Amino acid sequence: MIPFRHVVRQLFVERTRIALTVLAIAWGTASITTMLALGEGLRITFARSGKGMGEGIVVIWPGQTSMAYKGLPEGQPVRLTSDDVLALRQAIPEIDAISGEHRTWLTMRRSDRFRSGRVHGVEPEYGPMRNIITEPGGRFIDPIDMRTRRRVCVLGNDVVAELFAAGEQAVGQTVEIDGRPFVVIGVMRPKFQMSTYGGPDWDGTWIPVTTFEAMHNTRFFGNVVARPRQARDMDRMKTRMRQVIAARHGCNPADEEIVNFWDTLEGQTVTMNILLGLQVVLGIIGGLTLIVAGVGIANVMYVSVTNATRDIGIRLAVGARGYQILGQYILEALLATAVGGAVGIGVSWLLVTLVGLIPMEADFFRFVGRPIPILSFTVAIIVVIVLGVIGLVAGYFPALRASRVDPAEALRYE
Amino acid sequence: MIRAENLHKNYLMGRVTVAALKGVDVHIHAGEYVAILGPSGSGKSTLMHILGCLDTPSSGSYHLAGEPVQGLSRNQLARVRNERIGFVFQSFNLLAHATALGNVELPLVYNGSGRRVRQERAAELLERVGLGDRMEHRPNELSGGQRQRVALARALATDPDVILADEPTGNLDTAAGEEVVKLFEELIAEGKTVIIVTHDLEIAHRARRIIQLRDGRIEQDSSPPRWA
Repeated sequence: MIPFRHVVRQLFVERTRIALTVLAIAWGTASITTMLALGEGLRITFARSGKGMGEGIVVIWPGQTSMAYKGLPEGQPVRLTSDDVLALRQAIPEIDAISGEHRTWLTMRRSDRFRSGRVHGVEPEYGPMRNIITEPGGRFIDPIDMRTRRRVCVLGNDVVAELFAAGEQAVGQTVEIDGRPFVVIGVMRPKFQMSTYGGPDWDGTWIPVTTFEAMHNTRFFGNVVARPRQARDMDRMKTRMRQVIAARHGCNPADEEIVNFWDTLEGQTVTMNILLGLQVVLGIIGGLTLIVAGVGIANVMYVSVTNATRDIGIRLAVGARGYQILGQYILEALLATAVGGAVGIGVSWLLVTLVGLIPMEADFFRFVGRPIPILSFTVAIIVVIVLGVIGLVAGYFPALRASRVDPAEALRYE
Repeated sequence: MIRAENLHKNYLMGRVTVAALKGVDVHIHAGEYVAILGPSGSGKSTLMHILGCLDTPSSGSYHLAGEPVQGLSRNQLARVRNERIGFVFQSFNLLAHATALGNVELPLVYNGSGRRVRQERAAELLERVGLGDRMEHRPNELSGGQRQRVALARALATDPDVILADEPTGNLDTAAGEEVVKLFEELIAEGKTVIIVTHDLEIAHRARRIIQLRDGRIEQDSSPPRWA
């Protein structure tokens, strides 16, 4: 074959020609991978913040009867209590987790810091369902808190920031809620949250349902939160819930108004479809860019090899075999692809890193999080290989033709 | 050394077949200094390309150094060119991007010589043609005469038996041309076979034998007048 080093030296010798090919491949690789990286970052950000309120949960609001049934008139409110929640849990095996939820606004105080805060009375299963994860060293409400009606609270991270000095340890300290002392048992780890009812979780404070009911002398939940064992159980679970509630409250089982559901799975499906659409669009744009870049590379390669026809004639005249000529141009295309691809990925990485450093301050980002572009090396490698093959094919045919013509003819080529 | 008989070469120009050679017999012995003379269109370049194995005849037989050349594959012909023939062209045909050294090395790249062997041999030949101080220069940094001497050094790289020169002085001024012709004469003294294709009578008459071509046929094959 032909000495590898001779070809490599030739690359440096014919700088402009090779530089064009390398540039074309680098440009194609960089533009496609950067674009797809931005899209992927957006997708992951939305997918993550879409789960901020909890994954696959349903929020149930009590409604009122819309049909008269066995002496119960229409327009009668249906009110849910802990007994209803207990009955639902026992009657419906599809329920994985369920919790009632009280909500009210109360004054909170710690020494000289005051704030009017949203306080929720909830059960232990609420935390994991609603994706409220405490910082290390803390915990969520547990069954003992429930049984003994402890005065304990879990604080949202913004609440902590308002009531405590920066760096101060909140867990174990006492805060006053509505004039009563509560021990802080946990602080919510910051999270992104796209959907809320009532308000974002970083503003919330959670205390045990039992404690809440003792303080406020109420039994009626503002809403209930539940999650099925599997997403496909959701519809069945909702139907069963309405039936059980109807039976317990003497309503018509066919009355759809007695409870209202917010099924977040439906929203998630929509979000996933939008993201899928985004990916398809980016994929199409990426594919088109790939074709444009491929045509560019093919053109550069074709022109450069065609221009080298006379050099090929010289090489043939001094004794180069056809396969040595071909080998040289194939090796050249492979090296140009490798270098161009590496440069392109490098540039893309640089751009992606720079975009990641742009400070983006907006309320919007509190909810969805900052989209950080993510460079996919699989995509990058695929792009480089595709462009390389295009370059190879585009260079192969003129090289093949040049290596097959009579050297006398190649030498005549101007 | 060269025994070619009844060479014909036809080109297809569009739909018309043009006969460039119409039955040419050439016998050249080892160590001969031959000029092939003729006006343009006489078929002398075609003859040189066939003798140099750059092209193949449409019919006829050709033996180079006793071995038949017709019927060889393209790769076998390339090997013959590499080992047995050195070319010098009117337009030099150097690789524009390579240095003088790189150009002279080229035939050695294709016979599989190692890097050090190539460089030593190329340097030695460039010294010989008087360009020892121009090894790292590119063709466009050299004069016409220097370029042609680089080409001559390249032709000698694999120590071939036959040197084929196609109008070697055509693009040179008289002084530079004279230097190149002197180098050819040195090669003759060393026992190489040198064939020069030209339409320059003065150059032709330096050779010991002139083959005159006209319209694809040999018009005259003779030793020059003995005034020299």
